[in-house]
Amino acid sequence: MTEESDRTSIASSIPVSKRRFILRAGLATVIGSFGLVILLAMSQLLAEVSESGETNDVFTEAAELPPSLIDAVVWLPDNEQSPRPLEPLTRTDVAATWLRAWAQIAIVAETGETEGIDIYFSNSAREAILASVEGWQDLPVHQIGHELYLSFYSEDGQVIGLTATKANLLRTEIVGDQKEYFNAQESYEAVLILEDGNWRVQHWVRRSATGRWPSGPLPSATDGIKEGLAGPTITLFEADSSDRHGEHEADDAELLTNELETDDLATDSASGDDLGVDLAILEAELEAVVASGERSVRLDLDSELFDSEPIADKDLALLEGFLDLAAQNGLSVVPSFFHGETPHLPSRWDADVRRLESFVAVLAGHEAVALYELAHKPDLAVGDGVDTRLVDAWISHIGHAVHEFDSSTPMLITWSNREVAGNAKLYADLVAFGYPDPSLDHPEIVGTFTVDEVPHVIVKSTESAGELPDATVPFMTRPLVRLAVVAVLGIGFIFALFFVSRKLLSVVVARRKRSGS
Amino acid sequence: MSSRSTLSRKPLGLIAVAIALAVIGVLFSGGPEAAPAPALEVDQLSIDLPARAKTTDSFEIAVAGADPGENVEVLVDAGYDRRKFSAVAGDKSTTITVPPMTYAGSGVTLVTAHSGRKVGRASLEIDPGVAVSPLDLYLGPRTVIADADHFSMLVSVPKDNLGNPVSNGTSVSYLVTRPSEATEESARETEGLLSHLVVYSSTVTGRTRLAAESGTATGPERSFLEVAGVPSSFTIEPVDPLPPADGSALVRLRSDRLTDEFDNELPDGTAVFLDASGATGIRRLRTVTIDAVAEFVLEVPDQPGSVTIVANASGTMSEPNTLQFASAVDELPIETSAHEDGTLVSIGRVISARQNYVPDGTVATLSIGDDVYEVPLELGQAEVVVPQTQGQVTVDVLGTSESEPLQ
Repeated sequence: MTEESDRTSIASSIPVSKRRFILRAGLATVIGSFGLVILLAMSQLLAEVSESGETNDVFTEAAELPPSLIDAVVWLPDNEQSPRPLEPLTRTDVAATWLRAWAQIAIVAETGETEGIDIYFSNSAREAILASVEGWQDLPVHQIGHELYLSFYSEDGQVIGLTATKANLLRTEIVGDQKEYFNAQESYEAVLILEDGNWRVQHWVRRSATGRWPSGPLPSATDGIKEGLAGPTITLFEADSSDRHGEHEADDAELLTNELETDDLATDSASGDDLGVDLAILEAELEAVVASGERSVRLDLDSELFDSEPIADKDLALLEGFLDLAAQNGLSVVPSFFHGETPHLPSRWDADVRRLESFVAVLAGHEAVALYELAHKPDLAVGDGVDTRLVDAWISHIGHAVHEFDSSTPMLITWSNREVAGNAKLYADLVAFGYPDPSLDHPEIVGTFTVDEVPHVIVKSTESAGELPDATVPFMTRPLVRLAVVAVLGIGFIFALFFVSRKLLSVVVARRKRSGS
Repeated sequence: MSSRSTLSRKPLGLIAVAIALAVIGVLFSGGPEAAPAPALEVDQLSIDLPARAKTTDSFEIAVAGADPGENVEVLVDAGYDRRKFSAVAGDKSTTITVPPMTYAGSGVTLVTAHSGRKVGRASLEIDPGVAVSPLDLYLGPRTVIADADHFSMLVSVPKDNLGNPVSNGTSVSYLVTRPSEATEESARETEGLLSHLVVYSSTVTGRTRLAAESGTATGPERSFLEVAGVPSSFTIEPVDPLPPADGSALVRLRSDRLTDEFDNELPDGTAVFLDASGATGIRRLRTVTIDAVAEFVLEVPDQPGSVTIVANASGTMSEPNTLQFASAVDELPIETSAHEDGTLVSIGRVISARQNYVPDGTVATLSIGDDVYEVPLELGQAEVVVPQTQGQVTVDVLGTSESEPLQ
């Protein structure tokens, strides 16, 4: 007897029905397991795409030197003892080299690609970076802004001594298994050499380093918190730009009907006012707010009126005029600097600070200003190329900047809801969030405002901000619920495959029977 | 038949249910997202480390505050070089020994420690070593005027054995050897990672050599040329006697020795321009100096008269020199005779000042009233029939004219 004939006799000793069942069960198990793996892999992929993957894409784009980053280089007056004055075009080249050199470091960290290192580094700097690629990986450094000083420029124009008196950087750190950011302010001395027509960094040496983690409280304001704030949101824009603001105005019309008829104020530039707006209309609208019993207005400054960079003096004058009108009507104003939907990448942060400096120069000390809303629902940017840690780092950056410009006015951060507000690692003097019942009598609530018909409450922040009352987690976002859903899906998938295979087998057996008969 | 239909509907229904569940799951679950991480516990780890260390030293980092048994991660960031270390926390503190550096990375080194959500940061200054050979030396310009006013510059970027720029304040000695072999020594300290020496020219042309030294480190020799500057006044004269104005002879013109105010000869290859105007019209010639002399070759004019020449070397103009060119024609016989088509004008043979025929191709110009005819001469003669029979014909060859009545 051969081995093959042995196997045939064993197989034929098992009943046909049992053999079918074993075959079906085995097939179903294999296919079901495969399906479950695919399902879990898809879930994992979705999670990754919404987190680090998108963030990395955004930073890689940032390495292409957006104009905002080029504007983030400030030159101090050159060393008068330098042998040769720096030509304007050379200054541009040197600034670009400095930025691109840092950008190359970020590319090495994010992708491991080192091709660009040869272009912007030479000598021992190049050797050291190429030898340290592994140490940089996954720990990219992102640029916020630089303050540069020319200390030396050789007579023949081939050697530059450069001092970066301020290098504002966003350093990535891995703490445990979480990516965190560190907002660093460092200084460097560097030597740049002109080689093959390109400036290259031959050496850089860090001379100082300070910074902060974007976690915990922002600096507190010296002024007390004004309580009892309540009112609608107002956006200033020019009426003669109706085409540009067409969509915006459509929303306004709805708000005018459903809310306090003051959610947006269109002004008529045809009135001949020097500001291009009619302050009389603003005054009438503010009187309407007062008449409705409100005590404050939230002023949305993240509007297209203030899009120019730097902000036009006439627009700042309009802002000041509005504040004066509000003060005359006894209204408090809560200026809101940024919408949450905007992904504020590090390359934009310096521009953000310049924008804030312009605003605060007008707002600081004005009797109408009650507090600053630093950012309105910045968590909405999460998932759009930005993670929560980056949002925290950005808020920390602009929060410290505002405090530097005006340390007396309290600051507010508004989050989408209580859950997000409760989970926030960073907090200002006040925190706000959407709240369904603004009449809730809670001792911590100091004010309310309305945005897009949604009431928001303002609460004093404390270190226990994570324990805001009744912070609930939506049912479907609870981890156990998610696990249960995945398990049910997996089991359902296995059963489906089992029945499909059974059907297929029955069809095959039926055909064999017919052909046998 | 009916039982088969029932069997086929069951799995299809289950599949539909499974797909629906899958869609709902994907829509609502969003993947296994991790719960929000706890807040960072900033400065909850204290880091004890030396304030300074040398690149060649190992140093210890003691991290305190971590929970015993927890892993402590330490990142040592030395500018370019980033090294990661980890250890398990002990009861009191965790000590990590950082070995000496193997690549450049002096300056402020950042140390970040974390354990769980606790983090701590500290820094220390890494001092570079002493300068090693070769020194990085950059010289420029490579050519300067030897007038004791222009200068070149030698930039030195000393670095240690790992490539770190040496500490600011490090002395660099410079030795300047002049063309006369006279030497000058000076020393400069590094500032902003580099040191530089300004070397003014002397008043003697030649090659000036520079050497730099920092401690025991030296570098390659660098040198620059000191060359003569703007020439002082000079003249330009014909080399040979001036030929007659036959429009084809060449005359050589040569400058005297071109030197600067310190009697240094202009280097070979210095461009010199000559402007000639007058009987030649206006011409510009270019040449370069050889042994401090500029020589030009000028084509003589095709009619007698004066030509003024002025040379320009590096902006210095020579004194104007006026050259007189004599007539190139000694004899210009012409005859006229009647012809069935008008008048036959016979020119020649035209004899030059050198008592030979004027060169073939020399043009004779016939003027009869407002009519002008040109005819080339061959072997000093030419014949031409003009339609006119009345008046006078004037023949001009190289500025010499003769007239004869028509027949």
